[in-house]
Amino acid sequence: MFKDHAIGESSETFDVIVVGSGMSGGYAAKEFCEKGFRTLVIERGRLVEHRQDYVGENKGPWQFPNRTKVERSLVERDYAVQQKCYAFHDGTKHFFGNDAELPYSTEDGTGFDWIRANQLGGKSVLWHRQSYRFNRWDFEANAADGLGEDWPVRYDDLAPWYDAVETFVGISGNDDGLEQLPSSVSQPAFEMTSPERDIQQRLANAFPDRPMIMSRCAHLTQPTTLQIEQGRVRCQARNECQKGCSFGAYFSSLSATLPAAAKTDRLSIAPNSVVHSLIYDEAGNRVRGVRVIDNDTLEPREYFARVVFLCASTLGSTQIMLNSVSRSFPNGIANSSGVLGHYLMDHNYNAGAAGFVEGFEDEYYSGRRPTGIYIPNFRYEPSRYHKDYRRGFAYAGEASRLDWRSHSGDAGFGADYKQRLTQAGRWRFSLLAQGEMLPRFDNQVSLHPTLKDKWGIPQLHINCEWSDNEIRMMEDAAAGGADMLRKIGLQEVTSWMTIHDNNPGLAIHEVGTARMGRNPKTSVLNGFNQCHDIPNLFVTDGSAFTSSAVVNPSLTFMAFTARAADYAAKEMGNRRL
Amino acid sequence: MVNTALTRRTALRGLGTGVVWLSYPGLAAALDKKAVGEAGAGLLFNQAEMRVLTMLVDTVLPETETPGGVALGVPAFIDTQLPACHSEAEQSTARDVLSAVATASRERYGKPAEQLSDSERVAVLSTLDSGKKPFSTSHMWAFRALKRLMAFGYFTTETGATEILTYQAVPGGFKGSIPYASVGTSWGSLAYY
Repeated sequence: MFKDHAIGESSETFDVIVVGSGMSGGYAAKEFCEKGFRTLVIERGRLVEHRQDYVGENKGPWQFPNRTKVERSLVERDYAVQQKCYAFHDGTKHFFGNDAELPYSTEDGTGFDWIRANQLGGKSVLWHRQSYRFNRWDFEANAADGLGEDWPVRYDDLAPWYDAVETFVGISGNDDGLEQLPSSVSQPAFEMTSPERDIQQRLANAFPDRPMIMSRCAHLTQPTTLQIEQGRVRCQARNECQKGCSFGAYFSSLSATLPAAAKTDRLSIAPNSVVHSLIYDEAGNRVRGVRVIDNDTLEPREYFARVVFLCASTLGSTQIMLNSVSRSFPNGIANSSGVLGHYLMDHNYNAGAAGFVEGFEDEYYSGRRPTGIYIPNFRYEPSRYHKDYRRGFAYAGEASRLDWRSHSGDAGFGADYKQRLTQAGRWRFSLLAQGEMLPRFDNQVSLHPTLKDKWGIPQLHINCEWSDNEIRMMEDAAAGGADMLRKIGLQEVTSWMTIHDNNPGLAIHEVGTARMGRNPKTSVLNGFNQCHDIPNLFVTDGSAFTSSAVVNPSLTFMAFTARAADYAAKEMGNRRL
Repeated sequence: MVNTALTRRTALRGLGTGVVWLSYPGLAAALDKKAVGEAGAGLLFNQAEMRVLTMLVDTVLPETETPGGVALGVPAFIDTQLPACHSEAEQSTARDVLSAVATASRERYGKPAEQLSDSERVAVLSTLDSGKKPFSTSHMWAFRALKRLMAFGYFTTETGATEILTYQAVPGGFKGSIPYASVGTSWGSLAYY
């Protein structure tokens, strides 16, 4: 279906070029096409057709040569970084970038794990689907504590766009009535297991300010008429989402936004088009389009439009901007402030705690729930901050029964051992901390002075480290998590901290390198994701963020994108663009 | 899906001995204990090592009311999986265990591991599983890693996942609370391994 919209060379001047087809690009394409604009989506990778290209789907482990594991020689050659992602296996590896073809460097003594998904749909195919709104303190935190640029928007500015995006995307969850986690427009939540309901009660008694809720995720549980018309149906609880889902039960560009855009007949897609740089008209101070290198043939070509939306992922969009130099912008387009590339953030998923729940031996669950429980950030306003660090963290978790994967390394062998492996084991409850990372000028991505990739584009050089604030937060999250589990009576409680082992990047929530702000001297974008310096250039992926906040960012990428598209459409209508 | 790579390897493996090792469940079901003494050289393991490995698999995951590990092709799986997906260090650790078992069998009972009686096997594996002499603690941990690989090889076969455990290809939705007795086994359908 998408191939019907694919184009090669074109001299047409489109209304809008959208660079990238993932979470943000897909949404931008849908909005512009539905508003009547001829839209060209530029995708550096191949086309992926919904359903027919989900080649790992519907297979048991015995149908993979190495039972879903990827051959070591292939991992070492092509996926040295990508294999660190929890979702990387033989049923999904074709949706991950090839590290050998996508080189980048890191500053000595630092590391950054850059997870890539360079094909139609981008990381929306691979995402973990957790969907939460920022709360009002998230938008105020930078101003309150002076760390980072103040967001030029507030919660109320974004709230109607959250409503619209959630209605289209389909979010399952409850209306939990929490000021720290504003409720979404939602479909019914997934069920908790019996031990989870019990723990929820025990936590409510012991820690009334740390409510535990069912997580919210972009899975259909009661699809709307529109979603059903799109061929999307109720989640079947396979939890094999990253292989691709032919039920369209989880949201992706392929299942939802791109089909909506395609339905208008105003969508064109230029696949295999690696954007080299933006075409800039000095005299008019406008971008006129993009220069592209063909992914396969390495031949250059150009595409033109009235307005350009960069949605190429945080580091992708930033790389394009840094590589777009001119007399007016020798250090990257729209970079008169000099902050482009700085303030790189990720989320910090580097502490956890777990314990065993006694009893419930006659209880089990049916299906593979694609999500878990969630304890929203309980340090969400400055008066609730821990004395040793700023900002806060959430816990994600679940209670499930152990199985042979845990038991097979125990002592024993023979008939009893074998029988034991066939049975469900004890209930284990675990929490994983998800912490905010502070915006710091030193955490920077830049163009490497000499190294280029196969398309002749300067490689990114990343200099990013955890700061003491992140380390202290994880120390507290590990110890505090263990304390919570002990106080509610869990057994054999353990905790861990991995911040000294893991590079930033693995939360795959990189944000911040073309930040918003009110002041053009200290920020790249205004409150509508529009470049201060160049009116017809917008950046609506994570690079616009001025703080990482605590929650998973994709829902907010889409809300900002929809809002920016609305603004740009009105500006075009008024002939200002 | 026909696994052509594995089929080719399986065929190659048989060239040296004239015996094509049967790695597919069902086909191999008739072998069982006889197979312990007849295993041919593998991809990673030589013939002697394959025989020790087959004995270990047959003792750790014996045939009961459900098929044993040998019948489900676990020795051939380990011989394929170790070089394909595990580090050189893990491969050599596995060989060390097999070698230690062979040595212990010879020194204690005067015969190859694959010829041990049932009670002799249990005696050797008990000392190995607890790291007692003549085995070391590192042998114990290496054996436990090998057991994990055996279980992985066993429960990720179609028979292991769908007949010995309970499999939901498409569960149809999630229920948070059902009686364990209504399933009776651990789920064989897992999202990640």
